Formats: sequence, structure tokens, C-alpha cells
Amino acid sequence: MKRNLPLHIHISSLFLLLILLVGGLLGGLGFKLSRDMLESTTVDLTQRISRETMGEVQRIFMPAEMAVNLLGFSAITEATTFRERWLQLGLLRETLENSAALSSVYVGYDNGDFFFIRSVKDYSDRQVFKAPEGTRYIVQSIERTGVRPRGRYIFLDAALSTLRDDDKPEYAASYDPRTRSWYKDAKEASGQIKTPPYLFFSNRKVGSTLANRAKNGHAVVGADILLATLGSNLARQKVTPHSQVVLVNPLGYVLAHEDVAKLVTVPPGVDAKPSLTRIEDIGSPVLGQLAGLIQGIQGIDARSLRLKVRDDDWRVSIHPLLLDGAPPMFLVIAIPDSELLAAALKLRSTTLIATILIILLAVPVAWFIARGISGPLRALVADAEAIRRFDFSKPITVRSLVEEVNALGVTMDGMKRTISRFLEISQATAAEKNFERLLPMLLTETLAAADADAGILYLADADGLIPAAAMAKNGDDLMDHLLPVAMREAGPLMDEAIKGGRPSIATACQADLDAITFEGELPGVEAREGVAVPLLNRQEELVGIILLLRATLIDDAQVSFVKALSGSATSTLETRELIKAQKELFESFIKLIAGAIDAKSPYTGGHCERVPELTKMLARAACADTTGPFKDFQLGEDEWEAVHIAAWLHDCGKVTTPEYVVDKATKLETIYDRIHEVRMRFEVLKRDAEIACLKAIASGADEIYARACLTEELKQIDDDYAFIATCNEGGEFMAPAMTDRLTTIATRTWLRTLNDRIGISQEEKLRKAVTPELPLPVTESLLADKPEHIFERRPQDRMPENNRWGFKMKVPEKLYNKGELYNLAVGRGTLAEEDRYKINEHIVQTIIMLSTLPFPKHLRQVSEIAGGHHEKMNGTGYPRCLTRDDMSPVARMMSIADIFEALTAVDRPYKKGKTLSEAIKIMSFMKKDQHLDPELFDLFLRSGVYREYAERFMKPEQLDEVNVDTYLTLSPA
Amino acid sequence: MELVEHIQGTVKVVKVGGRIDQATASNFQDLLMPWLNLCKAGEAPLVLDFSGVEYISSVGLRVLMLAAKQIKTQQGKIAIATLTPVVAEVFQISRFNMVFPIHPSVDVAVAALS
Repeated sequence: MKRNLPLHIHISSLFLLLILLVGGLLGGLGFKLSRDMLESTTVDLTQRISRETMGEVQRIFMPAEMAVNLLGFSAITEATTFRERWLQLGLLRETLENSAALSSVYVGYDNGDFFFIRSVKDYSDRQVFKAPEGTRYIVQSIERTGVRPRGRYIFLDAALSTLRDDDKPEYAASYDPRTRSWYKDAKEASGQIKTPPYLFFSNRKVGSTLANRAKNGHAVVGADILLATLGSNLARQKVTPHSQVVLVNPLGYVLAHEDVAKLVTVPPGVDAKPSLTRIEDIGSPVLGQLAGLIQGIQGIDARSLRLKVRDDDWRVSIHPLLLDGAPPMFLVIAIPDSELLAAALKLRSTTLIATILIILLAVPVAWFIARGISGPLRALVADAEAIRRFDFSKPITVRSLVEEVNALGVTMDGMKRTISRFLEISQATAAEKNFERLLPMLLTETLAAADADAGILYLADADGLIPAAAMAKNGDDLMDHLLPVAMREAGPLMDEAIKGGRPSIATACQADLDAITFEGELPGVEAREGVAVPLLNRQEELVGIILLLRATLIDDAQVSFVKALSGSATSTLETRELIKAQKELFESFIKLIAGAIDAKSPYTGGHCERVPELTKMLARAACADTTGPFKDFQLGEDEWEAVHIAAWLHDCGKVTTPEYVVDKATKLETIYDRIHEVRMRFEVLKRDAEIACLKAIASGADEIYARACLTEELKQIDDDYAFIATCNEGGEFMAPAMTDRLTTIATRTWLRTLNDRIGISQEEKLRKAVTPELPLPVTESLLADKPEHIFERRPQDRMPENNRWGFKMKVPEKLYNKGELYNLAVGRGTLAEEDRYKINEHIVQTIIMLSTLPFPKHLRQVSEIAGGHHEKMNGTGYPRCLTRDDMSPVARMMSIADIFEALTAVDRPYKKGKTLSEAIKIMSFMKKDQHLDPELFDLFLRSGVYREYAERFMKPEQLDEVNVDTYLTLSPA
Repeated sequence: MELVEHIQGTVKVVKVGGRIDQATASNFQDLLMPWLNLCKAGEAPLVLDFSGVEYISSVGLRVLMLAAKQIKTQQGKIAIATLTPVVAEVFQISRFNMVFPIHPSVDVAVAALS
């Protein structure tokens, strides 16, 4: 995997590489250039040295050659005696003095005479010849004219005065010029001869001898040339301190060297003759290697070579020096690379050091600068990460040296602000539930985002646009100056937006302003650069327009932002419409159900409508109460909605209650009032009595008596029926005497001659099948509780203990008992226990039904509020036996509202509506018995809600005076 | 569309019915004009009974807005009574309830203007 490295490392590495490259290139190139330059200089130099050395040699030789030549013509060659020769001494001296290299001049004669003058130049010379102090010249002479050859040494001072004259017979004896090679060679040669340089015997100096045959042919003029000065000359030509410059002959003997002393080698031993030093013995290793080479040199071309000696490279050049009449000599120049290239090497090492120094200095600087560049980038990365995490707390402040990074920072900051702003606005709009506040808020935000001077938010309907919010930049409300805009007269700016379905940008003209305002202007708003952004819902229908006026033309970025915001506004509008529609639908359903319940029984009609009103009145009173127990009671928007729904649905379970039970107005009432059936039985009894009477008379009984009996019986029957009818009404309490009479009446019989099991429903047949069918005619009790009157309770209609709703109601064994006696014997009212339960069961059904509805969170309380209106504060109510503390305040309010409405309703079948004072009085007892919440009842009275309700919903004849204070003083027992 | 007037004390009550939209707005404006022209300083105040108005669109609101301006210039007195819920909502959104005095019933409006 490729490894990612931080930018500053990349930059630093690049920098380092570049420096290394440049340093290396500069160093290498510099080294090469300077080496080449030095090498070519060296070549030039060695050539120059060779030329100079050649010149020097020629400078040494030329005067001597001339002098020797001239002397060949001089008189001294003619001289035959010492005297004659002595006379020529001045000439010879001048010759010597004219050439520094000449050490001696001499003439050998063919008779064996020899005349020699030597220039004494230094102490060593004098030592060699044991010359006296002040000796400047030494004249050596051999004469063979006498009997014996005469040899003499004459020491002369500078003025040629004789200092000493030594007789040297051994000299004359031992030396004969004619035996010498220079004499012989010159004698035979046509011109001048030169010997190769050799070691002078007398003074052990290197020199060369020139010789010339004299014009007369009887003498040979010779001269010795010292090459000692060449040594110092060579020393001057040294290029570097350890360079070696030597002149060697082809045999490898060193002829000239800076150290003159080294030229002569004296082998050990007494008789050993000193000789010239060989090149390999001169003490320089590099020269030592050249010995064989020099001896093998052919030709006269200069050559150069490289040698390696003891880890040091040498460049060696060998230049032949050619003199007329003499074998070649070689000038050897050896230069060590280390010295020759010292400057180049120094340049190279300096460059290297400089490069390293630059790197040492530059790397931290590069690192620092690179960090400076990458730092802001890293900061930007962190900022981008923060944006990703929706953290907008810190602003982006990047200060970089790099323009692009700064630009990126500025752009990111802008982006961050835009996103942050957009989110803030979205959050704010999402949080704002109140539509009337939301629209101005959206407009304010849009105004700020677009930097506009004024803005108007229109809502669209089928015909045009209604201003819903309008604002100037300074916060002034502009609504008062605006007119609703008819779609057809919207002005060009908005017209384009409406028709095009996209933002229109144009300068607002007078037609635009006339369309939207009363006066054709917006006071305090001078800006005229307009942008109209249409708000389109998902179906691309126009739901509104945002119109903005700016001092300058809006830019694209702002239009985009406004468009994005307008999307938020659109979705808000759309969502609101959807929610509104849902709520309206739900509301309609609630009212539909409530209406259905009320419609089931015309007698209770209106209960479901009135209870919500009364509950809300009481709740409003509680909210408004600032001092009493409800001073902290408040309901939010959501809670009001819950109250509203709960109140409207509090009796929704009644849809399951058969109306003949709810409306059971008489004890015998089922689907119809069975009193009519009973009455018919009494009619039968009466006819039977009459028939029996007539039959008795016909059979001879006393007619008067019989008719009297009949009258009596009929009266009794009428009386009994009247009693039964009264019982059926349920208006009074059934005292035991009444029940007894009921039982007595029931014992009477009548004769049924028709089959009662035909023409009936299958269900009834099943019920009747419980008792065996008797043969007709059948004697029937006048009133009876028969098995067929019993309706069995199905298992699902029972209520298990610990049921999930917490219902605690005593469930009668039977579903219905329609027994005639049983019903007529009901103690109070018209409802048997089973009927009572059936009615009370509506609250159970209400709770079950409401708890199955998927209410949103804020409406979860609905079931609790709606299901508690039959509970009593002391826990004796139903269906859950809740106490006051178990119930929410609103549920307790519902309880009061339900009771008060029931008491005062004028349309109940079982009783007439109570007057206001009666109702309050009854409720005060209920408060005393802890059936009602005393605090709420007090509030009900204190706040005047009871009267307010009464005035709206009760009949004027029910409205009587109530002494509220009387009941307020009552406190729960 | 028909506007029916009845006098309640010193106040003229004009009952408006139906829908006030694109189709009916100009008719409504024409019909309303005589009453508006008479509603000046010192003349009988005008109450528009909106109990029969099922719907009012932006065009209808525009007519009312212009009416309000005219009455204001004439220094007359005008109010609207008994809004249906749909109309009330439109009035609330457009803040018409600040342009016109709105009353829950004709009686209250008459009482307020008397």
C-alpha cells in the first residue's frame, strides 16, 4: 500500500533533494571544470617549463659557444709560449666574465701544451684547489717545450695580480690534452662539439664541455660550462611544493636538480669515483619509476603519463631537450595530483561543505516553511471534519502564505456559514409550530440571507396572492401598505416568477409596485432591484411567492440560498396544509362518531357536544385561576388538543350499547314496551271473567249476584293492572308491600290456547326450548320469570380479574334478564342490574376503543381523560375505582362536566332537566360524598362557569338563582 | 351575489353571502360601492355580516382592502361580523383582522359601532 505522508515532509524532502542535486551538480561540475582547467594549465605549464628550460640551457650554452668560437680565431691559438699565452689572459678573463655558466676556458695545443683559466667563484672552489684568499682565477698551464714538461698553477685575484705561482710537475705529467676526448672529437669535427653533461672531476660539478678546433688547426679551444644554475632554474619552475623537475640524460643520470648536492653520488669505498646520480637514486619514488622509461624513449616528442605512487596520483611529462651537437636530454616534470588539483579538490570539498551547510540550514527552514504551508491545510482539514460533524461553533480563520490556501479558507468559511445558517434557519422553522409566527420568521431569515432591503411573503390561492408577512430590513412591518395581488395583475416581476415557476430577477417597475401596494410605493424602501422566488409544492403548484427588494442586483449565490430557503418555506406550507387536512379529517371523524352516538338516541342528543364545551370552559377557568389550587395549572397547545378529542369521544363506547337499554324508559321495555302484552293478558282475564259470569247465568246462577261478582272482579283486574302499569313506570321506590302485591298478582293465571313456539325467531326458539312444550291449552301465569327471559353472558363479555385496563366492575351473571316479575320488581328506576351494567359498560368500551387508536405521543392522554368521567374521588366509581389522586385534573373536570350536563339536560327520557339550583345542590351533595373533586367544583362555582354554561345551553326556565357561597363553604367530609 | 341591508339601530348591517372570488369579486365590489360611498364621517356606520360568506379569495380581500382604505379616507366607520372559520383563517393569515374591526356577532359589532 502506498503510504501517505504529510505535505510538509513532501516539501522538505523535495527541497532536500533539490539542494543535494544542485550541490552535487555544482560541486561535481566545478570540480571537473577546475580539474580540466588545471590539467590544461599544467600541460601549458610543463610546456612552458620545458621551453624555459630549453631557453636556459641555450642561454647557458650560447655565450660559451660564441666565446669558444671566437677564441678559435684569437691569437692565443697561435701562441707557442706561456708568455704569449699569458698576454692573452685579459681576453680569456673577459670571456669568462661574459658568461656566468662558463667555469673555465682553455686551449689545448697539438704539441701537448695546455693553457687553462678557471673562474673561482666560491669557497668550495678555493678549497678544492687550495687557493689562497682572494683568488678569483686560477690559471693552469702545461708547457712541453722544455726538457721536462712544466706544469704550474697560478692563483690570480680579480685584478689578475698573481697571488701565488705553484709549480705542478705532476700535473704536467698526468695530463695531456691531446688524449682527451673533447680534444680528439673537436680535432676531427668540422665545427664545435659538445659533450653530454658529465661530472667534472675537479670540482664535482655537472657540466658540459664545448670544444672547437682553432682556425689554424693546431689547437683546440675548449670551455667548461657549469649546469649548476639549471638546478635553481628548475627549482623556480616547480608548480607545486612537491613537484619534481629534473633534467636527465638518456641513460637515466640526473643532470640538473634543485638540490645540487644530490646530483653527485659518492659510492662507499676509498677509491670509488664519484659519479652522477641515477634518476632512481635521487630520492623521489615517482622519479624512480621512470628510470626504465627514460632509457627506452625513442623520438623527440614530449609525452605525458600518470603514475600512482603510494596512494598519490602523479602526472608526469617528459620533454626532450635537443642541443646541436649533443645527445638529447630529458626534462622530467612530475606533479602530484593532490597538489595540482588542490584548488579543484578544495573547491569540491568547499562545495560539499557548503551544500551540507545549506542543507543543515535549509532543512529546518524548509521544514518550518512547509509546516507553515501545511499547517493551515491541516487546520482546514480539521475544519472540514468539524463541518462533517455539524460542529459550527468555531469560525474558520486560516492565515496562510499561500494564496490558494487562503482562498480555500475563505471559501470554506463562507460554506460553513451558509450551511450553519441554513441549518439554524431550518431548525428554527422546524421548531416553530405557530404558523403565524413562522412566516415572518422565515421572511426575516430570507431577508438577512439575501441582504435585501425589504421582503414580502405571499401565500397563493386560486385567484392571487395574499401577503402573509412583509418586512423592511430595519424591522418595519410593511403589511399595512400591501394589497392582496390578483394573479392577473401581479406586475411583470412576479408574473414571470408565477408563469416561469423559477426565480425572476429584474428591476421593479412602477407596475410592480402598483400591483402590490396601495400608494404605489413602499414607504422607507428605496431599493428597486427585485427578485421574486416562487414557492412550488411537490406537485409543482404555486403555494406562495417571496418577493425581495435590494439596493443592488442579487448574485447567483444569494438566489440559490434564497431558493433553498424558499424550499424550506414551501415544505413548511405544504406540511402545514397536510397536517391541517389530517386534523380536519380527524376532527370530522370525532364529530361524526359523537354525532352518531347522539343520533342513536334523540333523547341524549347534544350530550357529546355539550360536554366538550363545558369541560373546556372549566379547563380555561383553571388556566386563568391565579390564586387558588389551580394557580399553576396550564395547558399547552398539545394538551388542549387532547382535551378536545377526549371530551368529544368520552362516550364513544356508547355505540356498542343497545339504545333500548340506554333509553329504557319503563321496566318492561325491551325493543318495545311489554306492558302492552301484559295489558292484553289483563284484557283476556277481563273477558274470561265476563264469559265465566255469562256462562254461570246461562247455567242458572243468580244473575244479579253473578254480575255483582263480575263487576267486583273486573274492578280488581283494572286495579291490578293500574298497579302494574305504575310499577312499570319506575317512578317510585318499590316497597316490600308492593313487591308482595306484584307476586300475588303474578299468581293469577290465564289460558293460552295458541302455540307460542311458532312464528318466532330461531334465537327465541332456542331460548324456549329450555322448557318442555306443554299440550294446549296451557295455563300461564299472569306475570312470570321464565327461563326464556334469561340471556346468557358470553365469555368475551365477562371481565377477567387483573385485566390489562384495570377495570374493577362487578359483572352480573347474566347478560340480560328480561323476566317480567324481575323487571317489574326493580327497586329504583327502570333498569335491572343487567341493564345498569350494560349501560355502564359503555365507559369500558370507550377506554378499550380509545386505547386501540394509534394516537401520536401528545395525544396519549386522551384515553385517560375520556375514560375517567364516571370515577368518583373516593374510589367508588367505575370502571377502575380510581381515587382523586389517580386522576388527572382534566379527567376530573370531565367528570363534573358529564354530571352537570346529565343533570341539566332537558332531553333525558327518564327525567326532566333539573333547574340550575337543583343541579348545583345535587352536585354539592356529590362533592360532600366525595364523588366530585371539591376543588374543581369550587372552581366551577367560583369562576361562574356554571352560569356561563347555563346561559348558553339551558332553557331560560331552568335558570334560577344559585347561592354559590353556600356551597363553597361546604368542605369534603 | 346579493347584498341585503337592514337597519339595526343607527347602524346599517349588510349581509353578504356566497363565495367572493375571481368570478364574483368585481360584482361584489360594484354592489358594495353605494354603501361605501355613503359611509362617511357623521353618517351611519356600516357592518358587513359575513356569516354567509363561505370563502373569500385574495381578489376578494383586495376589494375589502380597498374598501377599508376608502372608508378611512372618508372617515367613516366599518366593521365585519361573524366570520366563518374558513374566512377567519384567511383573515388571520393576511392580518386582515388588523385592517378591519372583526366582531363575533352582528349584535356585538352594532354595539361597538353605535
